[in-house]
Amino acid sequence: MQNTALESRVRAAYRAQAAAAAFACGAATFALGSGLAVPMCLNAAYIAAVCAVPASGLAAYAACRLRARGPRPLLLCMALTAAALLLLLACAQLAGQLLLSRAAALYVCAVTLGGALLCALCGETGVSRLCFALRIAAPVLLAVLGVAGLSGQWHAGLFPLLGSGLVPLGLGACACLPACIPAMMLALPPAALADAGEDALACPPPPPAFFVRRAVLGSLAGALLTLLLTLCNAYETLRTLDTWGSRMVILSQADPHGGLVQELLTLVQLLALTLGASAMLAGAEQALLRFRPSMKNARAGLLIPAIVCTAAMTLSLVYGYGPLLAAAPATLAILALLTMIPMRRTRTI
Amino acid sequence: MRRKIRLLAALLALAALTLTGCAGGQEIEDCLFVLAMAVDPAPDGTLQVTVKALSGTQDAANLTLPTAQNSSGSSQSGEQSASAGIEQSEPGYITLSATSTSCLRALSLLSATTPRTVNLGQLREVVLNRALAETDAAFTVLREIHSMYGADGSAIVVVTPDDAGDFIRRQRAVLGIRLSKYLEVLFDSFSKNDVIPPHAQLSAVLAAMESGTRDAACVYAAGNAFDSTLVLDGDSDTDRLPGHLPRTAPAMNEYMGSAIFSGAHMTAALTGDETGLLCLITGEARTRTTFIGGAQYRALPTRVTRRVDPDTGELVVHVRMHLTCIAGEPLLTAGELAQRLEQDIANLIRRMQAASSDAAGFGRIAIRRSLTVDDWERENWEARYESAGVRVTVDVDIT
Amino acid sequence: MEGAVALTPALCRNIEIFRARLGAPDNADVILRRFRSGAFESAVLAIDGMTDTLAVDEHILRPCQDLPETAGADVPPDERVAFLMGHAVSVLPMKMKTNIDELIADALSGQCVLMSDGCTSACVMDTRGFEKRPVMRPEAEQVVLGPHQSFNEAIRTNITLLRRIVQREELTTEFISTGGAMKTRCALLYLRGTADEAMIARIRRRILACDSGFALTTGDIEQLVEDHPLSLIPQCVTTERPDRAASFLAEGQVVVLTDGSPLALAAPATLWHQLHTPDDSSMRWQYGTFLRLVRLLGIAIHLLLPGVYLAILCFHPELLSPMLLTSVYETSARVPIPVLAEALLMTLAFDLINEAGLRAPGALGNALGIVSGLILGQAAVSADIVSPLLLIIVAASGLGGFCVPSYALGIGLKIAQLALILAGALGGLYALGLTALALSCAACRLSSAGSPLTAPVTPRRPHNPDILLRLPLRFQKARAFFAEHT
Repeated sequence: MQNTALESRVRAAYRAQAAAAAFACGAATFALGSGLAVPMCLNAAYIAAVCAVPASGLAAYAACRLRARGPRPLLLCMALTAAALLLLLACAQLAGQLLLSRAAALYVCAVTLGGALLCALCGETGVSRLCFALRIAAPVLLAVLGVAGLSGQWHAGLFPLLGSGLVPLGLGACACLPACIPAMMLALPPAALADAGEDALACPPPPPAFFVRRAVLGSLAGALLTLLLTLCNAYETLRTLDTWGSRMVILSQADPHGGLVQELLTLVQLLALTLGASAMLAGAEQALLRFRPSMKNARAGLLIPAIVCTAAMTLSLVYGYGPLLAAAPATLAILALLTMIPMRRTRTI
Repeated sequence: MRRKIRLLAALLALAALTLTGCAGGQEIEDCLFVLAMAVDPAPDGTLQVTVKALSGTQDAANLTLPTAQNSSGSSQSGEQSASAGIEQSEPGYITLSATSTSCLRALSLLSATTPRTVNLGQLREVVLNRALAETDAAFTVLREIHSMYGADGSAIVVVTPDDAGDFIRRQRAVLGIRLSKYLEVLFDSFSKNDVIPPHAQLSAVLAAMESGTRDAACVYAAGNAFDSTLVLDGDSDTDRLPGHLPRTAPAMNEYMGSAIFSGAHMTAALTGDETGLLCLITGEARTRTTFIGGAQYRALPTRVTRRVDPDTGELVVHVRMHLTCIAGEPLLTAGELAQRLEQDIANLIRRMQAASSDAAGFGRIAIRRSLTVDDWERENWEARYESAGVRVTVDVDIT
Repeated sequence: MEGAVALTPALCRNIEIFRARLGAPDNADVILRRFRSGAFESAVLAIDGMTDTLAVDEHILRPCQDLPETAGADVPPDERVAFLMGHAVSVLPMKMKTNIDELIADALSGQCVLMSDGCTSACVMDTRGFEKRPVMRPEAEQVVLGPHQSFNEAIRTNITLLRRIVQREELTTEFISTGGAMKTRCALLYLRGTADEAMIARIRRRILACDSGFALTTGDIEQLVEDHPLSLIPQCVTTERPDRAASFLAEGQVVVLTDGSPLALAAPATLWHQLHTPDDSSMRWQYGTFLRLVRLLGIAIHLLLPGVYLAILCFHPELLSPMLLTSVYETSARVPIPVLAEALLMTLAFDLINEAGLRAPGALGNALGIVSGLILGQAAVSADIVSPLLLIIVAASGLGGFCVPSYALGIGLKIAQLALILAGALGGLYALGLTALALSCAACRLSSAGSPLTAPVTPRRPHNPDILLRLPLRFQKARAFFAEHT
């Protein structure tokens, strides 16, 4: 009975971790494919999203091999944090454009980062279990809402096929590399196993194909979602613009004023992106703990929000907001202090 | 001590998020919900913006405030003047107007003087004066409304030869009690009967105006001049422009027709029948009733194909439709009906070519032969379109 | 005397010790009776009112006093009590003990202690005979179909009720006394071979670790046993129904009964346990599924509806249909307070009415609901203090809250609802969604006695199709979920 229970726990922990990695890969691919993460002209963005699918699979395979050999935790932490930050800033930008159009940009940033941090505070266990629970519901809901929002002339906007030419397409293909970073969170064992004890950690993990399959599926979902959302509002070639890279843009993107369907679609899309980013932040914290095991959970959680907070404060300087609004990013530092609240304290007896 | 620090930290975080006032939330009563908007050109290159909004009360007392003038006593170029008047002449709605150098500034002036924040999220109709629509300023106005004020992209764009402000002033909810619902039902009904063009929504019109592959078409409407003596030739009573339909109705405004654009400005108006044909060739037509040769038919298009001949550059349209005679004596055979329709469709396309308007979207079909944007631009579609030949074939089944 | 731990051979000395410890003869409840039992002297210690004195007289005193004068003369002194138990006393169950503290605790719990002169061990006999409430209908877990018995405050009665349902040799009852100066008697019940040994040991350890100075209830025990004391979601499930407790035993859970508390505590538990009612399985699967879906919808409305309403009103009015917007616009224009304050006020009023209805005695409680709900609500709308639509929203949300079968979970969800209301008012649907996401992550992280709270949905474990939908019984083949997957 004990062996069955242990095997069951180990299997469940890896499945949850793989689901979290799939969410993160899908979120990163979508951000890339819709031009949010790296601004580029649209066909190039599509190519980047398509190339990100096999690239995520390769990255997942590399991460599994790295797990066996032992990853470099500090580098992993920095990479995951940077990728999460990029994704969250893209989320904040989209939320500010579409859902909270009257709110100050920094406020939207603070809400986005605060929400992601609150999720990440629950640790890798909480985030990955939630990702596992939503692994089917989230893509299905996005697909249903996306199909419901398709415009009547959805196919008309696909031409010309090569967009601005082969050079932007080639550059777009190279831009798929940021979408590989989320798969690297598979280089560490799941946090749930550490709670289960040494026996659980000693159990062999599933084969690399298990993780590669899930990372590829997640990335594919992100690429398909990009295509679906674009078909909701067909893009146009613009008469007037002749700047390189801006010839083809999505006009009236995901128009929230198009009704309830569009609003729900935008909301579910943003929440899925935030969950992916939280998974990456939780993975980054795991990496940091591995780098410095003597560091307690609370302090490990402090460093990551501090990095994120610094980025947000930089934004405030760039945009030149007044001191009152500049106080908003300070909430991120305060949220970091909140990590000292023993939310994760569990009984040890 | 540590617990106190945590509590203080949590309170500070909450305060920073809630008290900085940058959330952008608004009480609903602080908003001015605009249902219809009209833009007219005013003297000295300014624009007069008239809006019809929810008043928040069902009291129908007439209320007219005196005109507020600026210090010089007259409006000058670059100066803003306050509203020409506020009217509340029907329960639940209020009409306001403001004049300024741009639509944006006029809406800001309305926000400041009402004082409510203008909210265009419930906008159902944007009416442009024809004189304004025939200039490139129309695009700027629509762009400002959609992008800067977040107007509902499904609002219908209407062009009228009348004063646009008067157009929305005389609009009443003649059926039901809510103007917004009345407008929704009205446009939905006209769309089903193919007497207004497809894709006349604000977001679609803007997309088409910026597009390099097609042109916009929006609704053409006017007030009904009951005493009009102008009579046009033609079998069909709907083959007239709005404002000249021989009828009386409780609604003062007539909507059957299209305004077609070439790029950012309007170039021609289509009658109700021509609009129906436009819906047909774009593939958006539904079952509609039409008068041809003295009989009334229900027309159901079963297949519509459009292409651009790669060798000759001709605009080729093929329509297969099913006609069911529902009233009158059919005097024409299927072949004669088909010939009539071919002629009407060809005339319509030539008319649009003469107006330099690709409202039917032939450019979207032509672009499929180009692999890249640069290839497409080398094609110089605008010039090719205007000089292209037209070939129309119609197959008709009659029951 | 104060240093004495074990019984002495001298009966007089033992009686002196007990008198000193219990404050007799000033403490009038203490019965300390010395008598002749055959060739030697004996004594009984009991507490008046806790012990069935008739049973003591009939089955202990009289048989011992009726022994002939030479009976037990050749019995070694240390076996005298055993001799009496074998030849005179006709009470079972019984236990032999030597520790004075334990003997006093047993006497205080209503048992009878029999000592003999020369013997260093005494016999503790269960002669409890205090007044207790009869087995009645459940108050908080009423069902339409299914049994109508509930636990009461007597631990022995509760164990009996369970044993009537679970007639298996593996059913084990362990008694634990926990607490500091004032001990509370708890019983751990589990199916030997089904419940996980490590989990039983963990729960036992946590209960024994308590050194509270007051009598513990099931709620206190729950707070000792749970893994995450700061969480909003309870990690154990309490029930006042023996049939439900029996189903928990079959699943491999541990049931904890507390003397003096009419609730049973089961651990580990999952979140889904707290959303199910006994009626779901008593009814046909179609009805059970339908009611479960209605309940889940009610819970979703309770959590989300007020927050969504505020979010739409403050941030996304374009989502309202024009007809609805006009109504809301006209009514809101008359209300003098901001919509967030209005929502919090109405929610607070609803909770006040709820609480007052619980605390007000008898018939007054019923009248209070009618007066508060109908008259005050109507008056508030007429006076334009609140808008009618918000009143409907808060009322619907409150009704949804009553659909939560677990009272403790209902309170937790009420607090979560407040957080969602604030999020909706401060950041629209976006902040509401983020808050819901964070709460979901927090719920997924929780564990109950080491077992994940959100299992078997996440992490996925083999289970019966009985989580959200209640499929027919013939599909429910998995047994003892917690035994396999702790």
